[in-house]
Amino acid sequence: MQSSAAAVDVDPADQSWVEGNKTLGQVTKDIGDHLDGKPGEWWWIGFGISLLALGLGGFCIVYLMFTGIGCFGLNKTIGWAFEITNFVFWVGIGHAGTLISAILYLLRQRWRTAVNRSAEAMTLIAVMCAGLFPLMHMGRPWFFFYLAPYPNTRGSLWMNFRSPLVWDMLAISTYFTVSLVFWYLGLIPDLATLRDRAKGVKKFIYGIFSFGWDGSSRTWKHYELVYLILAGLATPLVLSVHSVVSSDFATSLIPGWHTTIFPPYFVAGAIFSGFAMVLTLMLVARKTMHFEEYITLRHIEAMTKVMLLTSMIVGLAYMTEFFIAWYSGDRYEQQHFLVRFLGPYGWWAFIMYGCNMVIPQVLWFKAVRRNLLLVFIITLSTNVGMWFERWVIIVSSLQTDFLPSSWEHYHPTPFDYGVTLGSFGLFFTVFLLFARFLPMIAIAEIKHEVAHGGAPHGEHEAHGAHAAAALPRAEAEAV
Amino acid sequence: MPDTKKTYYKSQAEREALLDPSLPMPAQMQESGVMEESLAGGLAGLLEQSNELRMDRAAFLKLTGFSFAAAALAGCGKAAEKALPYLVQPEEAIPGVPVFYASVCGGCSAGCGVLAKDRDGRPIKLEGNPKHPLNHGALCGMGQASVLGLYDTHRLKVPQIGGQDTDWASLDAAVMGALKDLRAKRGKLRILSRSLISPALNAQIASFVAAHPGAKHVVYDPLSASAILDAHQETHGRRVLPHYRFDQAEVIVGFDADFLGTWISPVEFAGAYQSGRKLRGHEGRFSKHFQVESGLTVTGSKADERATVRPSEMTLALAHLAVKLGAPSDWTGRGANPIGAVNAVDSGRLDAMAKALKAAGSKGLVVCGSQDLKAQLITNWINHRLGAYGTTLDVKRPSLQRQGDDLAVAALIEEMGKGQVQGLIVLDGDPVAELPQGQAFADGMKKVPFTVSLALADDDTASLCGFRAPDNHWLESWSDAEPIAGMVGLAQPAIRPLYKTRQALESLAAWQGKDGLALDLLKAFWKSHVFPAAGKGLFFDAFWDSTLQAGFVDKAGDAQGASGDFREPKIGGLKASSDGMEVAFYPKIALQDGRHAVNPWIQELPDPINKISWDQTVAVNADTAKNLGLEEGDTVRLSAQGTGTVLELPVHVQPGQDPRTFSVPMGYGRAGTERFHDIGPRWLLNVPVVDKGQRLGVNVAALADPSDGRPKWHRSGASVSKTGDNVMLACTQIHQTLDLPAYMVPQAGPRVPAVQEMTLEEFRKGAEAERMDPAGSLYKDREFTGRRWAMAVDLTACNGCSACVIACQIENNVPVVGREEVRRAHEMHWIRIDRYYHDGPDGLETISQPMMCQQCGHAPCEPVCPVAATTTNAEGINQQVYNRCVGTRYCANNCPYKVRRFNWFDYPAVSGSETLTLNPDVTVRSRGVMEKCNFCVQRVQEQKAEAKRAGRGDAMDDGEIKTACQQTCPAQAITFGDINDPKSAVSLLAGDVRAFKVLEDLNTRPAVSYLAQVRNKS
Repeated sequence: MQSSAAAVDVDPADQSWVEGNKTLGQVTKDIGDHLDGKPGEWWWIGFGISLLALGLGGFCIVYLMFTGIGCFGLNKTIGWAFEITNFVFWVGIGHAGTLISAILYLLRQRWRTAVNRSAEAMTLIAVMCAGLFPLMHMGRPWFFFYLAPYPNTRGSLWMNFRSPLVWDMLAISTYFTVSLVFWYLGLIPDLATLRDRAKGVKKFIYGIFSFGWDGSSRTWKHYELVYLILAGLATPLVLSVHSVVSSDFATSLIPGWHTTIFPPYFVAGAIFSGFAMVLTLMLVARKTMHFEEYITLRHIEAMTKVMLLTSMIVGLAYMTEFFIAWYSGDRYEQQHFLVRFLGPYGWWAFIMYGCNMVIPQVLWFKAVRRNLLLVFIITLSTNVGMWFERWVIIVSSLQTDFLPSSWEHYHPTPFDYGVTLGSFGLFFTVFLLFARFLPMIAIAEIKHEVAHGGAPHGEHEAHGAHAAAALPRAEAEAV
Repeated sequence: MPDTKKTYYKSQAEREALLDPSLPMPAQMQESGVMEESLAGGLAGLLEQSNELRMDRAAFLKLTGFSFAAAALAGCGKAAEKALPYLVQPEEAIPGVPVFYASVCGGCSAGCGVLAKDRDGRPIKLEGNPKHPLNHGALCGMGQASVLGLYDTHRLKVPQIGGQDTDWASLDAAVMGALKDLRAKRGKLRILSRSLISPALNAQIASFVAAHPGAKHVVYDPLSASAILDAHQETHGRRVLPHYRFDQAEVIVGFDADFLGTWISPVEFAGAYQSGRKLRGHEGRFSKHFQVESGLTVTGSKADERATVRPSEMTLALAHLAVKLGAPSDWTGRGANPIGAVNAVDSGRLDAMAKALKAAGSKGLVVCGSQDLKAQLITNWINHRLGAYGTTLDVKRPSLQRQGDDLAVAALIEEMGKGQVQGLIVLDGDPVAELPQGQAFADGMKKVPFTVSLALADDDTASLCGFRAPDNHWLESWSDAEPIAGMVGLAQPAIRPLYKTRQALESLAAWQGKDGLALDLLKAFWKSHVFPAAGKGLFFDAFWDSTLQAGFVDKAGDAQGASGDFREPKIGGLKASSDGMEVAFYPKIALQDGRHAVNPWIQELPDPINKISWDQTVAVNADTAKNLGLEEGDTVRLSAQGTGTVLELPVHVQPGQDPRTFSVPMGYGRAGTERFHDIGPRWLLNVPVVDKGQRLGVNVAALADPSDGRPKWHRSGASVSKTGDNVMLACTQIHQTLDLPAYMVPQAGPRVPAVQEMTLEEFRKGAEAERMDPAGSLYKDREFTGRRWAMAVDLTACNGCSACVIACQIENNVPVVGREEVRRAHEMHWIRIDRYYHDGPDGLETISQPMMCQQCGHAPCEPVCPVAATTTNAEGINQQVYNRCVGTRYCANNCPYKVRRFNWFDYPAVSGSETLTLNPDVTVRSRGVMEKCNFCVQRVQEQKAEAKRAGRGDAMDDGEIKTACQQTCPAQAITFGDINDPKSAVSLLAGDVRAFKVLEDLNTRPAVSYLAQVRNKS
């Protein structure tokens, strides 16, 4: 960077988000070097544990495919529990990635460049994890394609378009596809960079996956345009996917589910949990992969502020639910919210409200926002709290619905825990592989930051040719 | 269904023609390769191999389906010719069309008339005979379930001598040899049976006994009414059991008699009781019912006023009632009011009873289930005082449903113990397991040199017998039944005997040296005994045929005419019972004395009161439990004074339980229940119902009070001690444990309760059920322009007996899932009885609410199903398309009634040869699909087809279609029909002042209306 002294004079927003006066070559080296050589022992430990969890989950899934859904603790009253909680949890996690990569891109939030690649990868992996659950959770998963609109000889018999589960399936598959394409598109210039650095087989493989990227102005122009379009496409998905997921509950008539505020409430919750997860991951990556100069305290502060905001939106939603339950005068609704808070499983709600609404309030203090350990703890507690939020909504609502004769407890079985652990196993296994084989930070994008110093991010879009010209030079330097 | 549409058969020849071709395939078929796979593995093979073969539903369907497929495939082969169904098709045997045989239920000794539904030669379901004067078409859960006993894999298939299989000729030779010796020595021969209501069999026994000097027929009843008979011996001079006429009664006082659930003839009593409580609009008669009992029973739950006492206080309470009605005051012993001192029924309530009984006069009825002779003498005195003999009690045409003589049984056991008995033929029953003195009986049996058992399976008694001459199942038997003097039912077989078994009637005749088939013996008996009295001028053959069709005949001329004299009983010396806890053993609904304990349908049936299935529990009053530090599921050691026996059982905290009585259901610990080890899904974490080789529950006989020769199913000086274990009970309704503090349940609000009650007084003053019609919808309502099937359930009638649950289970192939699955709330019943307690101003009030799919007009399950597997048909039935269902369970979540059931595993409906009870009209559901009540759509379709066949087109009579639950309901609480027909019964009921719908305010537009419970409170 030019100098930190210069930064005093400029607007902090224009300040560069990369520290340590990096040259473009150094950026490539800092990020690319992680992909060479052997992984460290911490990676192996993490990978081993993740693989173990994945294996456990895999065993559970295979076993229950052969035996039946009865392996889970579900019962006549509680038809959804751990698995749908996990599903909503993972879908929610994914949202931060799309928000960071699409919305913040459109809003010209330059700090996103440091985290968008991992956040997007996290989105993809999280959606993969999420997608597993409704599948394994079906009574007859081998007929999952009945949910798809495919031509058939039955009439044609279509799926039921009124069912939120159909919307769900369409929303999630669209989301996954767009996120995948978006993520991969952003990856192409970096893959080209890696190709240029690598030798032998690696070069060949990176070569194939970089689609013959040549770094020409034309290529860059097309790239930027497609990226912009995809960002535009992905933006509504941030809002729509979790709105649709929330419809699974909101369109039903179960007290605790049947709520019109669910879509914004779920979206805010999703972003909240997603940012918490991004932060959790980034804080670890930053430490273990020495990305302190790329993911700076400023980045962390920015993200904690988003968390604080979304936490308060979620908190508002919580209070609205209680208010409406009281205000509606609906006996079942009132009973449900009393039971949720004061009933035999009040501790679930205690965790939920505590972790999501109360604890994040400490983020008002700058000292806390800059204390990495505290932030790390808060992100973890948010992850736990948000899991419990879905758990409380799903399970406690089903437990005590209309007819007291059917009220039931939920007793989880080892299979419930197994597949939950398994999904975390899957998540971290794939994420660790990602960290090994693909650049965790978008090299090409971060080079904007380095190359332009304090120049506003939008400038290179306004003057695409300039930016496009600048980057190949950087590439050349790096090689 | 009106029986005009049933296919009856009229003669033996016709029956043979019907049955023969459909039964086991000829052996030569097995020669062909394909056939060996299919046909041999089909019906015949299945029966023979059933012991080894554990077949699941899929395998069964594969086999039966494959049988036909293979027959078609191998059409040109030799074997296939044999597989063609009929060369000359019998007139009435149409494959796929059921044939109904009028018969008499052998589930217990109540003798209800049944129609056995045969499909393709095998009985698959029992329905009450609608014309039978005893049960009027209804049947209890035990009767419904008894069809499974026919296909029981554990039945004895051949006669045995000393545990070795043999044939009938050898067995007969050996038995007759032994009998000859006995006759020569004039040795004591005893024939023991439960109450037999077959006049032909009783006559056969009588002739057998006459032929053997020193022989005697001893009758016992596991649920004995011996004291009632003995009391009538004293007061009326004849040892009879009165025929109780609850339909005639305006005031009913029950003392420890669960007459709606388990006592003597519950189906008949429930129907009669209900006919005394018929309400339409604001009109109708309504009896008044007081119940005094120690544990909560379904009868107590229906009572208008209920009080609890300890079993030992029952007699004293009765004596006090008698005194208030004018009996000598010394009956109640010394002191002003000893009852108050022992805290029995408070005097005010007894006053109310006495007042009501006095007002009712001859329309009053006191029934008492106690085995204390004094209690029964007092009961007789009260009934006589009221003038009830002749109106509400009939001793002229008495009941023959209980004939057991406890004193004779006690004498037999003593004789056996002394080694005086040389021969014992156990004709019916399992006395070792069923008698309170079972152990003494078993010990005595070891001293009897010659023992024969006619039991169907190797039970505790049969296993001690040298000779086993297995009887036919009643569905394979020719028999008759006279439950009420003069009301004679004729029982015909619905299938040829499956195994090499022989009817008791034939066996006894054979051992007397008289060869003859049961049919011939029966006919001969009828010709000489029944026909002269009931022949009505017909020729015998015509009389026989018409009786066979109808299933019964009225032999009214045969009234036995008890003497009108009433001898005042001498009651005295009643003492207040000692303080302290007592234990009472009660027959549980359907399980009763445990004779069908091996039947999984019965074991899985949740008790209508405590909603517990499979588990045997100790019911403890809530306060008592608190004092003793007991909690639900705590395992305790239960013992009582004067016996070393200790029962280890889990505690169930029971509202309405007498504070000083522990109640334990009997009928557990029976032979054959070891099989439940294998029931339920096979998966990693399944806990078997019983450990390998263990029996389900414990036999409580050893704790019964054996004093004065009339054993009583209760005992004083009971105590419990905690073992420290706590088990989770297999309870299907656990809102007890998920109970909420009162402040959490907002009282006010714009919602109507799920169950509604009113007192008779309010009702007479014009009270109506609370309705809440939702404001309506933005969308156009779905209109059912043709028919809309609907149901009305009268909560005033429903007593919770749960016959409907088992009827539904059989009709709809609902699987049994086992205890662990019930614990995990995976039970599959399509209809359940929701039970709610309410603390009324004078004690607990209990209400039972049958809950099945409400067939909503705006069904919440439908829009949420992603694959449209659940839809409403044009006639308003919400149907489940199993093929389409992928099992997201969203529909179940969104069902506010929670009536949907999911196949969590591949639950076998039944296994082994028991698969033959499956209803071919109903799909057997596979793992992973949702299922639920569909108003017996197969019955609807069947009757619609029937109407078309009969040339009536779409025209159907109201009431022509009966759902399985409705058909079997003893209280006729369920009505089914077309609600779009304003004149249909269901329309009238749905428009009744008491009608309401459950959760109507959710705008689900249910098709099921409930009629509010009315209690006749004073």
